[in-house]
Amino acid sequence: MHHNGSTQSRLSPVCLRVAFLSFTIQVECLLIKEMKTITTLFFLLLFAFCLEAFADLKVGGNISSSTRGRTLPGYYLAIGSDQAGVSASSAGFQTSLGYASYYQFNAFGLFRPGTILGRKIEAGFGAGIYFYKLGYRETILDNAGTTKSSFAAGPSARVLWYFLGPAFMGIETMLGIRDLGLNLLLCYQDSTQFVLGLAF
Amino acid sequence: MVNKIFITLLFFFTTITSAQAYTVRNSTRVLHINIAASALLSLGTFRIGRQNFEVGIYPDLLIGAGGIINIPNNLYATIAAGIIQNDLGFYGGFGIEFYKFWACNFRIEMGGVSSTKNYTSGHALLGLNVGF
Repeated sequence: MHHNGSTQSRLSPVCLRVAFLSFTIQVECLLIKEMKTITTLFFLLLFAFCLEAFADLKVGGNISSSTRGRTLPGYYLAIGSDQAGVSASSAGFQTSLGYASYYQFNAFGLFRPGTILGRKIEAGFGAGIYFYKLGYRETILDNAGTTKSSFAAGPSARVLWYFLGPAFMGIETMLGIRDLGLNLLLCYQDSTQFVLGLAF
Repeated sequence: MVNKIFITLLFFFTTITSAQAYTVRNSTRVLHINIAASALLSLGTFRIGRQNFEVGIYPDLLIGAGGIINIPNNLYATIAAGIIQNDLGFYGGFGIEFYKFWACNFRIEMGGVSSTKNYTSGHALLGLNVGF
């Protein structure tokens, strides 16, 4: 469906369908290894022909709480339609004594409900996951070192503000669910990122 | 088998057109006060607002002002800017305001705070919106 007041250009329907098909294939490979080929093809065809494709592509940089305070810019990539979208972001570094890799993926149902200060807002709610792995060693002679990794999943939200044409800034946050008792006290393993980018 | 059911439902729901809008959050009050709890039930936010404009304390003691955008089905999005620890900060949140009881609406909000000094933090807010 089309919405009024959009400042974003549209990718071709083919691009969106190819992207969603790729995403679909990956999901199916991960979740249903035993699914038969004919069933897979059925859902692929269903998914390919049921979409009315209006897409935008977002590219930008971010800073994220997943780096735990380090000033470590990451990249941000998102694709979506008027009603749904997915985003991926990552950051990392490597030195002779340590390394770290941070990844986050979010999927949203999207809304473009209006403007603030005359500029369009994009809001979304969905779910996301984040994963990081880091390693360090005391000296370069220590071959083994110490490694650590972590994973969290939970609800996620997005609010973007298109402050100048295709340029946007905003916040994506994911609240990882880990300990139900702490979650009831509104404590979550959050992974929040500030994003600055362009939408095409 | 369970996986097949799950993936069937997943793809089925992705094909359903979004529900039509019937309700929006109550923003007709002259003045409202929003107070909500955050982590460990500490004070998450205290805002005073009029219709779709709010000013006050946002999570992580961000003091600022922001706007609210109504989304159908009692949902809303909010974005604010202000000062956090002597630095410029932003807040973006998505929530639902529901069940009007006397002058009170309940709010569940999820949002993130960011500052220009590489500080980001996410919050879940659970609170009341009292209108006058």
